[in-house]
Amino acid sequence: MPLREAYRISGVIYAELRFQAIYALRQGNLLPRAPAGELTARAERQVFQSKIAVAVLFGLLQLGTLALLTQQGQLLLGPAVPRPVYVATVLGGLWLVELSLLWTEGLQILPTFLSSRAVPLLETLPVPSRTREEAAILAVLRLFDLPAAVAVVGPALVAGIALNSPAAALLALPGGAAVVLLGLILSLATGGFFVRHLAASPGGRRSTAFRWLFLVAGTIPALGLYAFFSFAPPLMNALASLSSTQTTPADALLFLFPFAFAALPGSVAGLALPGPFSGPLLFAVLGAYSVLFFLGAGWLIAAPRRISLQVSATAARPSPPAPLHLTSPGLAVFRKDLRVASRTPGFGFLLLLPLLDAAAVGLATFSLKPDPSTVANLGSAAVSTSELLAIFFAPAFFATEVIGLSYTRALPLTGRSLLAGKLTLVVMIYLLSSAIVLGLTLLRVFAPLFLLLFVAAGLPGLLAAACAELGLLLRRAARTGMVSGQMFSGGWWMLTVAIPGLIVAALPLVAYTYVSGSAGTFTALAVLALSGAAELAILLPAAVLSARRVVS
Amino acid sequence: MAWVPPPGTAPLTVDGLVIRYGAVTAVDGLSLAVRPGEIYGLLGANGAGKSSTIRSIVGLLPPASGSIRVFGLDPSVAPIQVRTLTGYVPESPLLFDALTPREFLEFVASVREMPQAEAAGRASRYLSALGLDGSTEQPMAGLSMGTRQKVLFVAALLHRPPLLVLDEPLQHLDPRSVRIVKELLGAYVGEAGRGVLLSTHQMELAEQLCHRVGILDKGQLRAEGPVAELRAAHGGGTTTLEQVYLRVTDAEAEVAVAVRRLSER
Repeated sequence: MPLREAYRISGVIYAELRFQAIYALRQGNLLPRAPAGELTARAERQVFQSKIAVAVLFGLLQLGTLALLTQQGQLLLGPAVPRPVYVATVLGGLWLVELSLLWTEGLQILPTFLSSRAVPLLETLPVPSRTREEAAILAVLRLFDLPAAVAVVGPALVAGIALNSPAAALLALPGGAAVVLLGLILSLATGGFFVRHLAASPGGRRSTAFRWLFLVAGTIPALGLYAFFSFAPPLMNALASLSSTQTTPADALLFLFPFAFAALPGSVAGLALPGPFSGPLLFAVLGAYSVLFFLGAGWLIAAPRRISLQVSATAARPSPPAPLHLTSPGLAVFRKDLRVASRTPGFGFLLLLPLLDAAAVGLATFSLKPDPSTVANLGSAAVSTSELLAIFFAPAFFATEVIGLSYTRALPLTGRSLLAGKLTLVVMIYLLSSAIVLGLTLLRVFAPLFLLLFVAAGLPGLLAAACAELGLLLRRAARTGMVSGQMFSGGWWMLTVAIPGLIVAALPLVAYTYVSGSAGTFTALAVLALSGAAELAILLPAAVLSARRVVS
Repeated sequence: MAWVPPPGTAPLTVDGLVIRYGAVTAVDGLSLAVRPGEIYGLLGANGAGKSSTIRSIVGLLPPASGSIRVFGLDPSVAPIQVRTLTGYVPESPLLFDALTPREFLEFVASVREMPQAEAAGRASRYLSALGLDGSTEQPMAGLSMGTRQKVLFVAALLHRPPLLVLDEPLQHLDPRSVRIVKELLGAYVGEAGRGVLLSTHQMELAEQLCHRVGILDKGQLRAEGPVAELRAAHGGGTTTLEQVYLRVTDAEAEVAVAVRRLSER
């Protein structure tokens, strides 16, 4: 009975969270003009669509894993690796990726959950504290329900189909559940930490530097994901040594989470791990993990309420005032966005992702010890990836942030200044990413001219793509007055902005690749620059027009 | 060069304003004017249409019909000029949670293209007067509603606009700050050509502060004039503005019934 009551209360919190996530009322946004029933139905629909988008992403990863688990897949990725080790590694890899995505999604969602102040309101209800705790955790679970269900059931189906064993499918369920549990624990622990320490961080240079350091640390899940993808082939080569009975310290990887759980399905399908990794030792390790997860589950149940109360009780410390430092309106928009991002883990993460991608791709390029003649090509590929990522994330999540705020629209901010601020942000991300790639590749082969020219030639296409995305976002904002705050609430719709942006960004790169095959490098660079400039000539006026409509 | 309003121009005129939310008409043919040197109080119950009117005036809500002029300028034709001439304090101070007051004021002053020294000097004076010295480096998320409202007040006054539009500006403030803001507004409209439109449902505040008031009920202006004239017209002598309001909006009987029901056991 108390659990039913907790579930009922969690429904109220969940409805509030949906509403806040879509309409951003706590950020001062005005409700669109529509009947209340329609507004709540729209919020429900959009959050559901976003959950489906994340669930589809999980499903695609699982389909990819299924392909890798076939004999042909193993021939491609790890022909020398013993089959049981290969199955455990690939399944464990899928769980690692799912863990990273759940953690990342949690970092996006939980600040909204914590700043909604919905949970502290429960303290005024005449219900036992246990019910309040359960209501809070149930509300969190409802935010993740569909992706979490797919993360548990999908890998089990993959294991069952790949190993042709229903028992294997059943034995994959605990691993999936443990991944979801750990994802939630990490999300709550880091999300709470970020909201307490970043959102409450005072102004000033030293605090700003600390905030960005924390944010970089918070991108560890994404880095883990990159590392796994980038270093999967060398990992497989290392695991091939397990075919011998002699073990090395590196082989202890199979005792790590989630690989130990991934060994279970294979063990019932006749794919026992070699030597010391099978039998009692594996079950002892799994038993230890189970105890840890049991304790973790206990922590998780109480965590949402406890963290919400801690966040709401955060007190401001008095500090001496600092003088105002003014800039131009465009730079003020840019500076404000950076400041907002530095105190908002979701935004900060999206801003840092292209930079981290550049670092990961650059490091991978560096570590692969390529032939000097291919360094430039690898570098340009890394720059292109950064460009595409900068396009995908930065403007999409910042563009309507300014115009959605009711106060800002009452300021004399011109469309040109608004656009200048946003484009500066995109260009900054691109140039920093490129600088990282350049730095890493130049350590291998010092040939800066080509890469510098490539970065410069790619700039018009990048600006054109940013204009395409901003134009679409601004048009939508002018029409509906809606903000698009984060991936969770606007994920579905964001694709309709990001895909045209990606196409505009990719077209000059495709033209470059095509021409570089037949003509010289410098001709190809000219084609890259000119095709981007042509796009920019069309899309910049359109974006300016949309920006004017929003501010007028 | 900044546009200067011609002397004697009314800071604000609203004519036949209609605002609709779907099938619901929130404001129905409202006409009013804020004269130079005047504080005009827009009084009304919750949902009477005060905030919708104000949002429309500052350009956040397009009207269905009617006209708005700020110093003779049409906000739909010259939005940037109108916003340059206007300072706005919204009803809800839930803004820019992730910025500190200093960072927020830097943003506002930069967008308004104010000279550095002027902005810094005024911000320092206003912040100090409102007791915000120790709160300027804390993110807004951690500040009280009253403190946030004071910050918005400073942001609205920073460029010393000739028209101030204030939506329930004092509802979260402590008595000391209320007193300071009242004095400040009184002195503010004393300077040539300025005007203030403020919405409130605090009758005492309107009585003390406003040169004229308009009583808004269900989106329509029921009465308008100086407080003394309204008193004289609706009871005279010792009649309070609250009593005038209840009479004009035909709410006296409703209030009596509600009070009687509440007193029943």
